[in-house]
Amino acid sequence: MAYDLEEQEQLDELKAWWKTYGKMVSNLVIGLLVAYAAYQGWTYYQTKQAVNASTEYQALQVVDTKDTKSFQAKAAVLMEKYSATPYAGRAAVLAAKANYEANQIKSAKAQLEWAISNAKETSVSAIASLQLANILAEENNFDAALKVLEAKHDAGFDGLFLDLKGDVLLGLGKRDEAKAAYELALTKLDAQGRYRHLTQQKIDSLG
Amino acid sequence: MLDGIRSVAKGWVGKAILAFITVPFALFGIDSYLSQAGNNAAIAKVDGSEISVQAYSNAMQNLRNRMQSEGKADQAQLDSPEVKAMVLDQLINEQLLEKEIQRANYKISDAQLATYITAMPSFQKDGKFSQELYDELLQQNRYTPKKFEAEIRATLLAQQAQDGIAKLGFISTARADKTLKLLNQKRVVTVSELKTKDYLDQVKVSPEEVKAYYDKHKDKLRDPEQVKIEFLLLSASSLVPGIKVDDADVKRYYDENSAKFKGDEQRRASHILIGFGVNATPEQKEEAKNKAQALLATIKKNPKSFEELAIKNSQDPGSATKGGDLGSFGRGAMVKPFEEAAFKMKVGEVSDLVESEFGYHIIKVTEITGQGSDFESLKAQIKGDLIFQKAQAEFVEKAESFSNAVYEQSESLAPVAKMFGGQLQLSGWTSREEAAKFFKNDKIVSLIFSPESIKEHRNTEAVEISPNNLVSARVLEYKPAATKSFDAVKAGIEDLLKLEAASKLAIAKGEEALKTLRAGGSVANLDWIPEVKVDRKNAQGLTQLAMTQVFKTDVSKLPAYSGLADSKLGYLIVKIIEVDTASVADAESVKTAKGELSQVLSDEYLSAYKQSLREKVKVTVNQRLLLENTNH
Repeated sequence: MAYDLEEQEQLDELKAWWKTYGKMVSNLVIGLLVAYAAYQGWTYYQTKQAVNASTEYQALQVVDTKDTKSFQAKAAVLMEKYSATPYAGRAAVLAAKANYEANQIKSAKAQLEWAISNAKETSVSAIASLQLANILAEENNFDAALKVLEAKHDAGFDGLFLDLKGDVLLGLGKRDEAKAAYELALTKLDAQGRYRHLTQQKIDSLG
Repeated sequence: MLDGIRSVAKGWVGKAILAFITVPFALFGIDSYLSQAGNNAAIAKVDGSEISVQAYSNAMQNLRNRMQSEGKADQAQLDSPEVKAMVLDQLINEQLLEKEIQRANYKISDAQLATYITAMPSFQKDGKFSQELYDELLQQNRYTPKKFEAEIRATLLAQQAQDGIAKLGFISTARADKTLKLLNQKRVVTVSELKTKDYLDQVKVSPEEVKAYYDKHKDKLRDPEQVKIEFLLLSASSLVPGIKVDDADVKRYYDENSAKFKGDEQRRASHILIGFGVNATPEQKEEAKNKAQALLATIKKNPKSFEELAIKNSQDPGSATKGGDLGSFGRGAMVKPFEEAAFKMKVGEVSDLVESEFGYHIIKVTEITGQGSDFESLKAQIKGDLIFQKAQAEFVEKAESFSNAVYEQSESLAPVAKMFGGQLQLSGWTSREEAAKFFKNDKIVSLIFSPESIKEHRNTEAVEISPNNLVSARVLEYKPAATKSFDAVKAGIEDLLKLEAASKLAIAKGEEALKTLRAGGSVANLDWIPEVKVDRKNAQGLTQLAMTQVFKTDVSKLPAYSGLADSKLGYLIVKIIEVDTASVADAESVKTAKGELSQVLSDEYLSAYKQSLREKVKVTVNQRLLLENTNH
């Protein structure tokens, strides 16, 4: 089929346009394709990491915590290789728990500190803060404990933070401030839970 | 121009639009369009996702079923706002968790899923996973493997993300010890009560004080306005005695409405069928009839042979092997001639030959269950219904003339009572409140206490206080609200003032005594109960109030004293002699207590976790929909 004059003109225009912009257009297309592929690859990688971490995490669950060595080794793998997954933070707190029970307080504190700054879930960071403050208070390091408790955390954990703050203040001999903290804690703790009764008893014992 | 549109509509654009409209219908059915307005409306929104009324209703239904299976379903409780809120809360939490699992990127691999499922005890046969058992059980419970596996995966993910939180908590040794000491602390205590009533004879109230109290509170010491009334009731049930329905009416009604009286009667019957084919010739029919007749004669002679003859001769293969038994059936299940015969017979009776399109039947009824539908058994019920219907009709008819009569002869109810054959009733002095309790209708009460009734003693308009009950009332006497006279109330006021003064005195004495005791002095005339050793679980006879006070007392210096004032009872002094924190039970119970403690902590962690998820996103609840939604 032969092109008529008008069509021939249009073809020429198109060719001229391609000469000017062709490279730019094809670069753009290639760029988009590369970006898309990278995104797909990233998603795939993330999913694969999460799946592997999940498998490791399930395996960690069945290790006896008294078998400190293998428990810590497994937790370390999760913290090192899968730090981008939520499983790492959980593993760190679990490892700290096991270390505390085995009287490895220093390692426990280090793991909790790691969880506070690296956990992918803010609630896990909050739990790690609570546990760390707990240990510091036990060491009579009340000022350090207070500092941990005063850092920013999930509002859902306010009740637990305030309750522990009361304990720490009491350790510092600040009865009135402790009582105020407990009383504020009561307004934040689960209204149907049993924990609040403990807090109430602490208030009562202060007279 | 028009052509342009038409050609477009014929072209691919038009087809695509049409596809848009039709495809959703084809995929989801028209239902999903219509139900948007109803069940699919959102009862709550969680970060942009909706929880439908349908999902909520299902959750409610599940709860009901679970409670019913345990025999403690209480509809009123299930309808209470608290339970509704709880169920919705649960759904919201599930939704929140699901989103969090996605956000944090929790994953369960196919391999993990397979490991879990193949280890589930339900699918084990001879200690190994059985694919057959798996398929069978899933099918029984109407699950596709895909759906089942998705549910298990969701459960495993929730276990990791939510249940895992509970495992993270641990309680430091120092803290656990402190808490346990506090919990198990024993206190040796005694209490002394300064009772208000013991101080009554030490206080005097002068007549001037009583008068002053009366003058000050006069506004509140009032008798409400009261009336004495007569009233007349016209009701459908009061018309019943005057209504006559004869048996002929009942029969006619039964015949006209026989379809309505089919009842739920079920009959069980056996039969022997001698068929004659679809296009039988008269000869073939005759032959079948003769054969059937011969069988019938044998059965009439020996009724016990029915089953045996059915097995040998019946041409209904389904029932022949069972001795002719057809099982139970209601009306409408069998061909007409068969049904008519079967529903006319008594149990054990054998019919004559019954011809249907299938052939000749010999029928035996073996069992009758359910409500009968014959005239005799329904007669009484129908008669009752008819009488009430007529009474109701008469009530409706009379209601208007009753209303007119009480209006037109508004000076008295007596003539109206005569006209309608009712009994006029009288009341004693009645307040608004009492009248409302009696009539259970606000309109009649406000009419009785309206100026027209009170001043002019006119009949009130007739009010339908409840369905089929019409009342008109007339005020006979009226007593306006009035301040109670001083004499009527002075004794009561004196008692009240005495109590107040006595309790004040008791409290003052108590506070004074407490001061002395705290300063190390002694107070005579205090009745101390014998010392008891209490802990939080063992009150040793102390009241709840006293116990709370005992453990609220500051024990930094022993003996410690504290007091509790009660404006009615008087004053309570608590003395703590000894605090015993040393005797914290044996190692075993300490371990148990610690276990309990970490459980309490874990629970609180879990609720804090849920609370945190909720505070991070926007959750809205459609309260109106939630309160309105009652499903039964």
